[in-house]
Amino acid sequence: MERLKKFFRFNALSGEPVPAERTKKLFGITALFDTPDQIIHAADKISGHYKDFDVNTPYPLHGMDKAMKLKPSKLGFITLVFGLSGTVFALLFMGWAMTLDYPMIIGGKPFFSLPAFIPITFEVTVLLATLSTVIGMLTFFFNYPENNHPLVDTPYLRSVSVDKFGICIYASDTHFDEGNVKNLLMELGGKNIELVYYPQKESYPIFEPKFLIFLAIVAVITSGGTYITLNKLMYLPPFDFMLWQEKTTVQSKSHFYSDQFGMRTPVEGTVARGFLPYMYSGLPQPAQTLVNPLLPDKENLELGEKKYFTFCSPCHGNYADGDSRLNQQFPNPPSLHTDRARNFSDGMIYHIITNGQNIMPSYASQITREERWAITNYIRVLQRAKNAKETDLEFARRHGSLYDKVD
Amino acid sequence: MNSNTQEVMTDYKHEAVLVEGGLTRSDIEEFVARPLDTKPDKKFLIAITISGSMLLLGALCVGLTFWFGVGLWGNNQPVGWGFGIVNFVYWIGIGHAGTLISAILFLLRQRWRTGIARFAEAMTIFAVMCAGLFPIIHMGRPWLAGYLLPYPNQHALWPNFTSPLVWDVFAVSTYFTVSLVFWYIGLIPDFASLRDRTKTKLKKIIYSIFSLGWRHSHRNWQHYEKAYLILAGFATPLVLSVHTIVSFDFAVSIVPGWHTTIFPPYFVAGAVFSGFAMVVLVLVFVRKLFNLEHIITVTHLERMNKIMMATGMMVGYGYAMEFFIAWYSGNPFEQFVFISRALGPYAFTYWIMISCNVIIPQLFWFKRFRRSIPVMLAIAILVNVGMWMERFVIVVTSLHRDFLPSSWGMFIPTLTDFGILIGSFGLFFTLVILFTKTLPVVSIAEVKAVSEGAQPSHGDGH
Amino acid sequence: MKNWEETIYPVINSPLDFKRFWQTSLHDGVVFSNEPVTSLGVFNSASVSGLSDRKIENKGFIVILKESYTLSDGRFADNGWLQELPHPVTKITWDNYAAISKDSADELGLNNNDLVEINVGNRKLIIPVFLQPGAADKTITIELGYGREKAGIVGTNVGFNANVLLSKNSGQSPWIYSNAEIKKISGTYKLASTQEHHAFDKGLTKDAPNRRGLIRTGTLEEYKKDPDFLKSEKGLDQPTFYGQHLKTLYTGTKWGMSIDLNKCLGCGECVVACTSENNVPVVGKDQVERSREMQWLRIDRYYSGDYEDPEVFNQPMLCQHCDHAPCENVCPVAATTHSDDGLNQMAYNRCVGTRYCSNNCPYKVRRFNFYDFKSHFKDSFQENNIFSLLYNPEVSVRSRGVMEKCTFCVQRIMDARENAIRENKPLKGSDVKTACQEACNTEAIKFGDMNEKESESEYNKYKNHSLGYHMLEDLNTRPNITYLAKLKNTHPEET
Repeated sequence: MERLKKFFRFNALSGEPVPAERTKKLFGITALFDTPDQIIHAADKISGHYKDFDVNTPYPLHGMDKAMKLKPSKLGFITLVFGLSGTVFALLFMGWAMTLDYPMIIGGKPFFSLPAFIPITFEVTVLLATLSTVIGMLTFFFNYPENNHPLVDTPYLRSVSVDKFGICIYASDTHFDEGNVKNLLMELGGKNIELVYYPQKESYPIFEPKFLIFLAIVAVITSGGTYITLNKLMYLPPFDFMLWQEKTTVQSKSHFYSDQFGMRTPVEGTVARGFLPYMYSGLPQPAQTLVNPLLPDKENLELGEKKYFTFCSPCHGNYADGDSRLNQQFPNPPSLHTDRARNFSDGMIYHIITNGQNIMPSYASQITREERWAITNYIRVLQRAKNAKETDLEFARRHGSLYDKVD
Repeated sequence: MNSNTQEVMTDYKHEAVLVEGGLTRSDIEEFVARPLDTKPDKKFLIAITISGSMLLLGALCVGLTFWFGVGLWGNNQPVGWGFGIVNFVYWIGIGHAGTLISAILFLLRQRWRTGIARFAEAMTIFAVMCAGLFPIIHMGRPWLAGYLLPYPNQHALWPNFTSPLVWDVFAVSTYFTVSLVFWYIGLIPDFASLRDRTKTKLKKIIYSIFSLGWRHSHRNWQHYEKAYLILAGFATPLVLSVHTIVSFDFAVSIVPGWHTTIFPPYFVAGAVFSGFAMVVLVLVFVRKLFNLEHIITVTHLERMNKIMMATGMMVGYGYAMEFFIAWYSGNPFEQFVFISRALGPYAFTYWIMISCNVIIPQLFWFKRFRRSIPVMLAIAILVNVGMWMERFVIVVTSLHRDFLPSSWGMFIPTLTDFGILIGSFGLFFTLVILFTKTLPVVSIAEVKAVSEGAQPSHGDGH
Repeated sequence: MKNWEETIYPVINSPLDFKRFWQTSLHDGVVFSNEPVTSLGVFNSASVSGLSDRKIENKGFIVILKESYTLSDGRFADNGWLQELPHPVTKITWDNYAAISKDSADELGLNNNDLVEINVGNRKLIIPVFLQPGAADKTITIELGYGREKAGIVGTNVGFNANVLLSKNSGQSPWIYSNAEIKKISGTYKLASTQEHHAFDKGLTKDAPNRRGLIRTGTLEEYKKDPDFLKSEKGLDQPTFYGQHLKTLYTGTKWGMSIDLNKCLGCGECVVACTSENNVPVVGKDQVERSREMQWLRIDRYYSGDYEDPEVFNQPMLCQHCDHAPCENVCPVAATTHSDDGLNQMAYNRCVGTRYCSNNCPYKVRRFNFYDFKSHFKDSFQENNIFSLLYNPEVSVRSRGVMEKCTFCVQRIMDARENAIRENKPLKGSDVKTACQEACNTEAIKFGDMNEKESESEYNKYKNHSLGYHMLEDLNTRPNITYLAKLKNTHPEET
């Protein structure tokens, strides 16, 4: 037990406090006073003779500012500047965030709604004003906290901390003379007049190896703990981010079926609503002649053209000449301007697209039935175009392009 | 001693003695700093065991809530907010007394605030800490609480700045920060005093760090006083705005019984009211246990009771005004809510509220009761109960029967709800008890400054 | 298929070959056989004449047993959706009860949830009572189909088995028994209802729905005289601080719904359709008792008039998708916003669950997941392998802590929009059918785009109907659901 205690002892932190060693360089001369009246009077007098001096009191005394001939504090300007900048920043930021960066329709309200921004603007103003006041006070006006000040750990300051009032005249003052200062202080009624010297620079014994190891362990635990918490723990139950959903979506695993496929194919022979299966699948030609239900009007032909270019032209060529890049590769996709093709009925073309023929596969899964009829119409147009009659030209000359007239 | 002070009190030409018993400045320091040097005694251990176990109960209930869900509470549709928000508003309200004492009474030059300011501010900070937990634990998914903060994130989303809950985030965090900073500034000279009288190295190091090398220099005091004044000046509108913004949680909605413009001043007055009740309640014990009766005198308590009564009457006015506007407006939903509050299923909470907040504090018209410790203790407890009931009445009775009768429902609190409520008190009192043992409960420098003969007699002695 | 080929196909004279016949039968789902229709008999009007002379001996109560509205004869007891579907009149879930009139209950000193013992002959049953406005005196009505002991995870031991009261020698009807003794016994049994029991009889709340303008009614005469008789009650064009902002927002498609209260029966099919379409969890009886039912769409049932002869109104209530939605303003994390086509959106993954939105919704249509309901209820059966196949893959399954509500079947809107884009056609309002609209038998619900021309949109005709009103208009929420006031064709002078 004793050894354990000894191991964890930090020498820097235990025992009685030891005051710092002092150098021989004089910092200043201090004197203590008993009553507020005395010190006000003393400060008044001293401020006439010396500039580099200070008064130490356990609480602020009224009238000391005048006695020391101090100028009023300019701390308020920092407050003003930062407070106003807080207002401006808050308004600008909220305005930007809600109107430009990610505007959302919220309750039908305008994107920049000033009444709604006021509370936050006010709070940010107050926050920045107060924080800047305090930080400004500590950094700018106090010249940063300093624990190594010569007055710290002196009997003078200890008395002042409790109930005495004190004056310290710095040696750096231009008119400083040890004898004169001591006389003046005695005249004014000062007691315990003492000389204060600068302390030695401390070697910061707090950074001993044990403490540093302790700090390192704390750093590792903190950072590791934060990482594990935020990246691992937060994704365990009960924290739920709805990342894993029980439903069976497309291509997801299902634990119910033994083959674990979430997507199931319907039972064979299933008939879909609104869709009767094609009667002539697998047959070389439709047993009954199928009739094209679509008229070759502009809309249908445009659809046919679009789908033809998408699906048919890679093999059969842009104008059904069979001159795609697959030409001269075995087997050739045929031109659709052959007699054989021209003599196909509409139904046969439909059947070929649906069923496939020889090497051509079935396009039933890619082209809807309506689109197939539209393609058929378009192919007929192409075939007619390559096999036009004289009368067609005359008709066109007389009536102009049909499509220009049709709305 | 009491009769002497009584005589002095009736003589309004001279200001009352603020520190009694003829204590010198070094006495003050001795009295206040002594508890920090001694080891904890039995009373302390008993107190902290009780409050610690309450805290543990609360922590357990919060843990269960995180694990299983808010379903463990009594909330439902239509009553989406129950004990969680009631406790939140209650604790924020309690925090307001501290800032009022520190900042507003400072601006009003009420020197008697010095004895109680430190403690009251500490209570503010602890109360706000308790309050700040509730918005997080009452959420359905508290691990995403960060979504309420405006920081650049992967969603590229900002919080909805037009929502009162986001205003709450800013208001409560600003309030906490500013109160903490204000309290800390007040502590700097006291840390210096403690540093200069301590006998152990560890404490010396800690006090030196926190005192920021303060050496009581008047050049620093000058800026310090300015900063203190500025902070007090900002803290005043801040405290008014914070509870106003909390009241906006209700006033900005359309729920009948919530949607009324009397809420901001009514809430602020109510906050001060409940806050002072809690301060009186705790100080009655602290001054006894730490022998601070001459610093925190009966006069201090009496003045706090006066403020309590004044704000209680403002709250009573608020009740009456709500009722009047409901009738005058002719809005059937609003009228129904008020009648249902007084006569409906939750009527008992309404009448507890009225009797504790409006009727009972009227006893403070009588000086005998104002200066009697047992009476003020009882009234402080009842006011606390009454103010908690008021928040319950506001939140639950308005929600449980609102526009469509088909969605009316009852709110029945569960054991978890009560556990968390007890836990919040446990947290608060644990922090207060720890505070009394680690930091000076009275602002040493300020009390010294208002003791007899502390300021120079000629010139500006005010 | 072989059975059809051998036995059915030969009987039916179909012009098709068998294969085609089989496929068309599968497609249609119905086969019409050519059996001759039996002719209807002639009604014997003499049989009615003796009815009034027939008297039923009754010295106590009459017990009427009927099949359950939701569970039928009990076969659906294992169906959580149906167990949780509130009874259309009493709004009670997960139980059956003895419905009794107030006067008879007062005679016996009964209140809601009190247990009674019913004795019919030598058969008895202990069951809680429910005071039903408008019930006949001295009559008890009990639903059958409950109290099953082996009905799967959900249905076991739910309710009370009233089959014990059935008798083979029942005289006039196996479902009606007279001379029943009702005795109050000690103890209560909490019935879980989605609406408060007592909202009827307290003075303050009497006729509240009518006074508050929630239910607007009129008679047919009024409507014939002046079709715009509701106009004085309308208040849609109120002044607003928001100026022109709202008018600039919704220039394209704007979805809206109309519900015709004249057609609505209160049957609840829309509720179940919505629940199944949107993966809404079943929460169980104790959570319904705590008012935490999760149904996005509910049918509100209001009484008005007096207790013995009340008028009943049904009103489906769902998210109104308000233009000035009070819920959107108060969400701290902007989890609920408005889309460009007029929908109030709910982003589940952004919601942190502060529940301010549900507090601020005057219609209280927002549902909060207080627990992870799919794992909370009954061995988390909603999470296991079989039931997880029930979930609609197009809709997120919500976990605890998030708020949910009707989305106007946004998944169907997106689907229709994708189809329109693929087919290069504009999206029409009639392309989208919400789940509730599809399920409604009487087509009371219409859904569509209010920015379409009225001639092209059936919904728009209803929206601009003179009987149309909005709920809680004076709150200026600008809801997008139009209710058509219910007209009653009462002829009091004739009764």
